[in-house]
Amino acid sequence: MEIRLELFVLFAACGLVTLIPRILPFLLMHGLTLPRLLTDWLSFIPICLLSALFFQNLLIARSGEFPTLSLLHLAAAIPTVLVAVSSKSLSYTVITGVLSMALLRLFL
Amino acid sequence: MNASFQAGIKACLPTVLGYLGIGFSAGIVGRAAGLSPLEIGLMSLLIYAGAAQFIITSLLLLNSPFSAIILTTFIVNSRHLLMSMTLAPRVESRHQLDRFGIGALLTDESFAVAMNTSLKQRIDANFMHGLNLTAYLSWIGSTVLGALVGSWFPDPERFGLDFALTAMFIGLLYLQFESERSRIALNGLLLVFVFLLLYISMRYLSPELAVLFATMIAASIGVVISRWKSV
Repeated sequence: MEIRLELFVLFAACGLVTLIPRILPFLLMHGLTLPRLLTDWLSFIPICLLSALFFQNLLIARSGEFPTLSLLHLAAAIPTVLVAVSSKSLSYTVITGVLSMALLRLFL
Repeated sequence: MNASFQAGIKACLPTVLGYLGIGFSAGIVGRAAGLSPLEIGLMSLLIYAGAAQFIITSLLLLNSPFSAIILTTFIVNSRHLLMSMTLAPRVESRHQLDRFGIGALLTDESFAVAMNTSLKQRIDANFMHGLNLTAYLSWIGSTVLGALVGSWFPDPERFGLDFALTAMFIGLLYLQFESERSRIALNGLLLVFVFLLLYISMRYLSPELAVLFATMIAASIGVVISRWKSV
């Protein structure tokens, strides 16, 4: 087992470009009083970002065309949403999602 | 052990299952792409970003130039800037090193858990360290485990493991909705806007940039509507 030097360099570079957007606001925004408009805008980021990430997982990108909806992912998402709402538990939600997808792939 | 650090570990536990599922698949995929378990562990240690690691693995398989891989990683992970901007003002921390550590280990999941907790109680640096370190170790451990036993599971998709990430986003999104009950109608409306914006922009942008674009525009729409309603 080994680590190839060029991969070490690549991963370190990828790590660095990942680190910068992660730490900059923490280092620069400390102790600042942000304008109300910005804090209002930021308060909408969690809902908007999480829903965008969720929807992106349901869509299949096609270059130069509108994306298509993945019916498989949509079908697995329905029981997952139902369990999320009824259980309010992340663990049950994840288990339901994985099982739903496994069953769908088994029978389709 | 500090009580707040312990509370952070406890807050992380519900997401650990998600990290395990996704990390395990990432390890399997990495192994299939010819990476050694040590290299896969190194990737998790240095980059620590689920979606990006899948993309890097597939680009390596395609023999893409390193410059393209690094640029793609930057684009995929630039959404962390939005998350850090949102979370940073809500965390009490006195030391610069603490803030560096909190930012360095921020993920979609730890961001969502921290935001959710911050709407109910104050969070400090130790809480964030407990939350982040638990997630970090789960991620590194599960990717290496996936790499080691990956050859027994040639097709992780068959077990639905790839859907663990989507399921986690569903759960986190629902919890965020729950904790913002006061503006549930507006949030529901924003969901529709996010979908439409994402759908349209995915024609012109890469999926990762489309996510950023849809998020930023929809958040702006949220500001406009909330101001207009309160006039």
